[in-house]
Amino acid sequence: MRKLITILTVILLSISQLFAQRNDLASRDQSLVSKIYSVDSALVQLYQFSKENPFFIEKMMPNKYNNLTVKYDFDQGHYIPVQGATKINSISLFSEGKTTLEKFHLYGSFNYQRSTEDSTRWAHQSRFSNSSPFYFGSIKNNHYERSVYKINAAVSRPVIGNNLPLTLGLDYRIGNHFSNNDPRGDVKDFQLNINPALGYNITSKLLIGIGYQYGYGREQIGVGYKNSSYFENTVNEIFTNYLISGYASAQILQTKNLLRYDNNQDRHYGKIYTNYAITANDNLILALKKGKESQLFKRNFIDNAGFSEFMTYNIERSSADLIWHKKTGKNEINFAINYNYDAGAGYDNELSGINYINDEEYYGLKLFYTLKGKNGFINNFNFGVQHFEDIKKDGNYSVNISYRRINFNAGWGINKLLDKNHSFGAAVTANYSLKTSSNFYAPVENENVFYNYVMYPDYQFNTSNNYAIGLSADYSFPTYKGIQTSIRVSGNYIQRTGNYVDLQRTTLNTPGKDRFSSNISLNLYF
Amino acid sequence: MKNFLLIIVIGLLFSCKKENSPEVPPIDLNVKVAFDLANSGYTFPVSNITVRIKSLISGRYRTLTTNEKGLGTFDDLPAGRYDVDVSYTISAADYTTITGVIASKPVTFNASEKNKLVNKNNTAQLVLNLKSGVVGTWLIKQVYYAGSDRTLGALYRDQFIEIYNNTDQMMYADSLYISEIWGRQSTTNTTYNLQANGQYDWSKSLNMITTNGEPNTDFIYARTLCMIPGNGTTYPVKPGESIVLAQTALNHKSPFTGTDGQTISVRNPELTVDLSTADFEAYYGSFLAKPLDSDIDNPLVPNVEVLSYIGTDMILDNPGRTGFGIFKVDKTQNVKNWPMYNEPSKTTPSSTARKYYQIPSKYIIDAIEIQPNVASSRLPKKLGADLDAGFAFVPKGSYTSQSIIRKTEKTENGRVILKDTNNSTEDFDFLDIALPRAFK
Repeated sequence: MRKLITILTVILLSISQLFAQRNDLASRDQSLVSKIYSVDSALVQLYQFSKENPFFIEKMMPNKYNNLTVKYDFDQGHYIPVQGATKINSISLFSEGKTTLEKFHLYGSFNYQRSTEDSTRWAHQSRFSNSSPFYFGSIKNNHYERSVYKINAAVSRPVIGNNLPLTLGLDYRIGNHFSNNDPRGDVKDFQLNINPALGYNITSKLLIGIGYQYGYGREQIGVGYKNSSYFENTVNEIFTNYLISGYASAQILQTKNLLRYDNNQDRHYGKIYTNYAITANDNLILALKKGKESQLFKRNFIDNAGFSEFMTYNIERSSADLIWHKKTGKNEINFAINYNYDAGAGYDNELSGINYINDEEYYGLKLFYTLKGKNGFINNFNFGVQHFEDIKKDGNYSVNISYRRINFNAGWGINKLLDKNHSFGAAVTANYSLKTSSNFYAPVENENVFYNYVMYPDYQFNTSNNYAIGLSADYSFPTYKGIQTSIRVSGNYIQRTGNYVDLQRTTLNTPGKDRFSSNISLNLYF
Repeated sequence: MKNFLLIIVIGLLFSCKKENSPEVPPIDLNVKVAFDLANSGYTFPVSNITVRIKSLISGRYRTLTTNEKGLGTFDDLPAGRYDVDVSYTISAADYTTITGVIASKPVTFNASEKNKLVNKNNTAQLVLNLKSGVVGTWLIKQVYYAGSDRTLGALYRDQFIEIYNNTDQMMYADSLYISEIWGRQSTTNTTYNLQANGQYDWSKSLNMITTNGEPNTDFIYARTLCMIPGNGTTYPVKPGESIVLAQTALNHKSPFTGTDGQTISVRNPELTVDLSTADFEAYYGSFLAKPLDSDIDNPLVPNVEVLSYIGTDMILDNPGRTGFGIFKVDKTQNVKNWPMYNEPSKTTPSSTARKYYQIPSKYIIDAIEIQPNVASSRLPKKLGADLDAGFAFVPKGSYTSQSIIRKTEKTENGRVILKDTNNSTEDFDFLDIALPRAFK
């Protein structure tokens, strides 16, 4: 925690230092520029991509962009996967900034989020790695409170005559999650990722780079009871604690003492970056990533004499992002093709083999077009198509479940600069998600409580079609020293279409019909 | 631009997807049923014997019927832990024909393998050796060890054991010994010497004498041991009737005043039992300076003689980690002088460490093994198939008012004959609310 505070202090001081160096006029102009960046959806895409790939912060991230956001989120509705929460309240504080100090390009961000979930089911987890096949769960809904801190920092510096850009990115996350009703969970997590990268300008137009990511993290999970009658017997079945391993097995595990295990994670990825600059404002970008994350589920012996291992879950990850970004005086276009494939395999020590398979494949395209009109009027258009496939297999139970979906989404937004540097924006989005195919095989003779409460309703959810519409509005105005302050509200409504598939099995926890999400935020741009 | 396109092509190649499959398919488990007849010189047919397997994760059962060689296969079993049971009854006529030994009633053979781990490294043929045990004259009929709700019921004050005369003859309960059988209490405690099955290796107990028999198979070990008093004919029990031994012979549905002067009332009398008419009670006040406050001596109910005890009253292990055995001995035996041993700890036990009576299995008339209701909490078997091939438990667990009760096999001339195959998994059911002298 002390490290966290130190890093946070450095980031905030550097941002305030930058701000203090400017006069009021300069800061007012910069605030407006930053605000305009934020409503340029094509540019925002590039900005987000650069945050995830710090190799590009020098060339692709707008300089002197600073932002401070306080946001309240509220989500409610039963159209969710079983391990979601029917109602979530969340408040977050987010700050980020990009600047240049001599030849150093610096980016830093801090994010604190505190959320409460009223009905978390079947998942005492940090939600950092939802596909992990080893966790505790119960029929009883848990009221969860979560606090998560995230710090990202990146620095890039070109050396040898700007021909050799060096980059180092650091991500740190620490989380604390607990539920205050039986069977109560106590989950702590942290993650640290280090991303060094080295580039080389092969020609004046072609930059290539290689990167490496090393990450380490840990989840510490514990479940216990306050009311002894819940663990001494199984009269109240809903309070029974189950250990879920793979995608079928749910074993009752409940004792007076806290049940604990750790999930130790480490990850190694190799990365390749390429930027072909057709012109200074017309770029093709390619980012490739491949590597493995390993999660070891284990419990330390009380006498520190070692530990017992339960499962090793390896995820082979590969991704490719191809982006074309072009900017002219009047418009800006961002076209991205994305591919992501995660192949997860869980080695179960008791079964002496890989029992669990979870393959997730995603590919899609996104187009963002920003048209800048006269008098500060901006139109944002976007369109996207994504295909997603999820395969879950549990060899021991002969379970083989998969589904494929295709999503279509489109949006239109406007932003109008008003008198005295006030501005107003509004946007509408629409999404339609369609199941294209699915497969369900889970022999009924092996059925247990996990099937009824998780497997069946999740299959119903994942094979349902839905549409969603979203609306947002934003009003901004200059405040102290010309800082652009914006208040933004947005709402999103998603509803299932058609009926859920009837598996002819006893299905409990059947998902609901719809869900509503909303947020309101106060944003400062400087 | 060519270079850039080349890198895209390389990228597409390196992102290729492949079809992944688990390495752990379901398993076929081959079983073989045989009779453990030693050097008898005869054999029984092994075909058409039903073998039952129960998953400890799902609780689901499967069965198979053996072929003429006593073989069968459970196909496509998910790896995991299972209870496997066989109970086979041969008619008296067939038994007499095959063995030449005259049998007056059917003979039951049992075999079981509890908590059997089945996985790809453990697929060897499972051999189930059927053994017949002593058919009980006295039977443990009902054990109420779970107790009732902590706040609404009587906690563990209302525990009792019921013993039944399953014969057609008058029998006398005098000098009948009742024991709570001890064994390993936790699978995470590794400070004891253990047998291959994970249960205590009593042969490693301090100063164990092995000349009288094998410590792990020829004896059981008792935590609590008590004896019905009497001169031999004091307590007759008619055929089809039973005796109830109460921890405390009170009507637990009604308020009572403890030895500390506090009056206790149960909030929900429906959850507990009236033991005021019990036949015997375990009163510790006669030898303990400070028995449990609720251990009140009911002058109308005779007290059992307590040879070994733990705690301040006859509190049965309510998670269900013990067992119960009843026995009688002839006049050559002085049970009080039977040897007692420490648990087989890896380190030398202290001189004050608790000791447990060693009871020869040959004297056991009836025994049952109890296990916790949750499969993952179960412990290695304490009793062999000759005493109890299975185990019993109350399905809901501790403080639930439930008791285990022996099933009724049949009724003859108004006399209920209880089931006794020496396999409590087969022989016992449960009552949602314990009730002395009830039948099921």
